[in-house]
Amino acid sequence: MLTIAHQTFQSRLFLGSGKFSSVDTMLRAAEASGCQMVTLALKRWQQGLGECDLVTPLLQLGVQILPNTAGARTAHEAVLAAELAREALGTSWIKLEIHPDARYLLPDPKATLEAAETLVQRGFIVLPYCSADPWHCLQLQEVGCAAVMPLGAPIGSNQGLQTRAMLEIIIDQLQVPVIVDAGIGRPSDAALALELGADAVLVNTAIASSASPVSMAMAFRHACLAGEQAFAAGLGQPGPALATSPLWQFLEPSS
Amino acid sequence: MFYLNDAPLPLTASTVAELADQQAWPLQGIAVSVNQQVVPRRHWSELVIKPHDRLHVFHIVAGG
Repeated sequence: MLTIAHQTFQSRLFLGSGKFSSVDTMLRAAEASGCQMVTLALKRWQQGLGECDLVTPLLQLGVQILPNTAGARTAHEAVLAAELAREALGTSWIKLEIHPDARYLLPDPKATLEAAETLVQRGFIVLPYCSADPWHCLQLQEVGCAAVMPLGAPIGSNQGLQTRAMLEIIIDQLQVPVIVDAGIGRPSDAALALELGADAVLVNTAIASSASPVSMAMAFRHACLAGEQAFAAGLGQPGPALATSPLWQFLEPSS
Repeated sequence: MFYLNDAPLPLTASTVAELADQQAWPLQGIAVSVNQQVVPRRHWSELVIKPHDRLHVFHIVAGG
C-alpha cells in the first residue's frame, strides 16, 4: 500500500488524462488501469466551446484528482495556477510543473523549488514534476513536498527510463514517495521502475497514444502489479553463471 | 472597458457574478482571477468589476 500525504493508494499506477482521442476513451482507460489518481489541467475558458464535465465521472471512479500547473513558465505563474486549480476543484493536491523549455519540456528546477516552498506554506499537497537530480529531489523533500516526481525521459517521448542511474540514487536517498513521471513508454518501463523500488509511476502518452488505449491501460496495470510484487519478493542479483539443474550422475553410470 | 482573458470588453456587468451569468460560464470546474488574484465563487456577487480590471477565467480540461 502506498501512502502520500496521509492518503493511501492500492494502485501504484497514476494516469495522465491528456492526449486521448475522446473523454470516453480516457475514462474507460482510467477504469481499465485500476489507477486511483488522475491528473487534469487548466485552460483559459472560451465562450461557445461547449463544456465537458471530466470531474464528475472521474470522482465516480473513486480517483484522487491531481490538477497540474502545466503552462506556467515561472514560479509566480505556477503558484497562481495552483490557487486557481484549488478554487476550481476544491482540492489542495497539486502537480507542480514548470517547463518553459518548449522543445524538450524539461522542468525549471529553480522555479520549481521556489514555487514548491510557497505552495507548501499555503497548505498545498505538492507533487513536483522534476529533473532526475538526487540533490534537487532532496531539496524538494526538505521544503515539504509530499512526494517527488523525477522524469524518466522527456514528456511524451516514450523513451523509457533514460535516467535510470539517477532514479536509483533518488529511490535510495528519499524518504518521501518517488513517483517516476514522464517518458515511460512501455509497460516494461513501468515494471522496471517499480522493480527498482520506485513507489509509483505516472503514465500518459504511452496509454493515450496507443492504438488501443484501454488494452494498453490494462497492460500497464498488470506491469505495475508485477513490478511491485517482484520488488517485494526480492529480486535476484546479477552474477556469474550458476547451474539450476544437477550436472552430474545422470548419463554417467552409477558406481 | 475591462479585459477578459486579455480581450477588451465593454463594461456591461457590474459584478463577476453578473458577468458569469451573461457569459454562461459553466457551473463547476471554473476559476477566476481579477488582476492576478484568485476570486472564490462565494465572492463573485460582491466583487465589482472596475474599468481596466484584467479578469482571467479558466476551466478544468484533460492534461498530464
